[in-house]
Amino acid sequence: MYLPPLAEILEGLQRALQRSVIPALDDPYARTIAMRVCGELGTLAGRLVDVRRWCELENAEARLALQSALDALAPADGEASALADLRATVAAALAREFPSDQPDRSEQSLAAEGQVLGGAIETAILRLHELQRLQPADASLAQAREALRAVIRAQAVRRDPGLDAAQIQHRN
Amino acid sequence: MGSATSAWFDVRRLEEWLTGRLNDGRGVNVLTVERITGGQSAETYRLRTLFAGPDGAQERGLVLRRDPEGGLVERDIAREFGVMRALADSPIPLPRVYALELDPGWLGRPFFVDEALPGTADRNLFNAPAFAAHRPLLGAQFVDLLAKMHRLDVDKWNLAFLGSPGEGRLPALREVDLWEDLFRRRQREPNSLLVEAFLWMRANAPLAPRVSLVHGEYRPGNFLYDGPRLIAVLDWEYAHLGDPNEDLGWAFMKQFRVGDCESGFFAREEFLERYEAGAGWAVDREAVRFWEVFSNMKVVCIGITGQDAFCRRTMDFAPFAAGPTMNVYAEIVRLTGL
Repeated sequence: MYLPPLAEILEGLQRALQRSVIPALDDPYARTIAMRVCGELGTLAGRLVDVRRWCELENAEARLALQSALDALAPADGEASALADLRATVAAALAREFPSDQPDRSEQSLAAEGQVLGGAIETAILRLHELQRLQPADASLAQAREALRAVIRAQAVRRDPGLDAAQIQHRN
Repeated sequence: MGSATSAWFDVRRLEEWLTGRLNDGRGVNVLTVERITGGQSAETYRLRTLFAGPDGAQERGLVLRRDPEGGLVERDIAREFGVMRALADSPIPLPRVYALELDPGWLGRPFFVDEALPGTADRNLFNAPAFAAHRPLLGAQFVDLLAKMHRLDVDKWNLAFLGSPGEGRLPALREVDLWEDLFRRRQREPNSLLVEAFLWMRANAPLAPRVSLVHGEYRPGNFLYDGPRLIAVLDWEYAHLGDPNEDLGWAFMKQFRVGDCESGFFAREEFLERYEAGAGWAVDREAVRFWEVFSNMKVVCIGITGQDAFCRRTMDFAPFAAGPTMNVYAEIVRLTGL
């Protein structure tokens, strides 16, 4: 069964709403909601066009940040320490295999990779935070945390082109 | 006169309820039902009704607020009704509430009815050319009312049922706990920015200058105005006792700013100076920054819960399918310096 690209389907639905539905709606509530749905269809269509590039870029950034964090952390003395646990978590996420070399990889697979890497960043931030409370002067912990924060900043800036990195005020 | 029909609920059942609860068994006709666009946490309808009486029928405007099928955040309609009832004779103008119905047997979900007031509630009022002339007067009322609300004696106005938030840093930490819990229960994907933001908020929770009634969503669009006159403050569903600076943080969010005017009214310092004069205490500017971060986090969480509700099909409101507004993330980064 042939289907046009999903983005084009959404844009088609948006046009149908704009041209045939909204002008015929007299009820103000229905009209407002239809206009919002219309806007959302456009947003989603726009995201679908970019979703592959977006996921690939953000997954690569996340992977790099996790690797930088791992590199910053010195190997732990004991296998059972919190630091060893953190290193193992990050290493496990990085070692998960995804068919990243396949050009026809699905968006779902890219998104699944993003979930794994994002989950590892979340966990690493929380564990680093605990470790920093115990060892506030440990430069390697601060370096690892900063590697993860860099990717958060990059992604926030990407979501708001109006925010220049220079605008971010370092007030901590 | 014939009754209205509605795609949203059974108008006959509503007439039966209005007759019993608001008109001593005499008849009530619902002439028109108009759904009002607004927040998605509650459904709001404007009703034109005819109340039968010994001296003939009298037309009355009412507003019906009903729980949504699946809202953005869990809400407690009895709490919202309770706050509005407690404030009925207070110096804060708001619609007078008439009756609450928790039995879903009437209209499918709990609801309450309050009076319909004249005026407009327009979040985009700043774009209206007519607004420019009213800006100073409306702004003054907007700020003065906020100060007045924060000065209310919560015991005198029977607001203790909202629960004590504690003192010191506890009001801030309690709010952070509530929203982090909501985020954890409803997140559909990892969100490391919010994780960092919650850690930042715990480390930077400010001391509350006092415990006040907090509206929770004090902004343009949540009050009725008619020309230069602010008629009533609306949408009390997030009201609670807490740190009064929380409302300043919400009113100062970037999305409500017009040029450098907070909520479209005054530059920040002018706003704060006027508020301080009305409240009678000095505002800690750093504390306000905390509450700005909190407010932006809250917007992200509302977007996350909206997307979750959409994906679970407990809410059909498509504008939440794509999740939180993207530029709010950048605002959190800018404010926290992460």
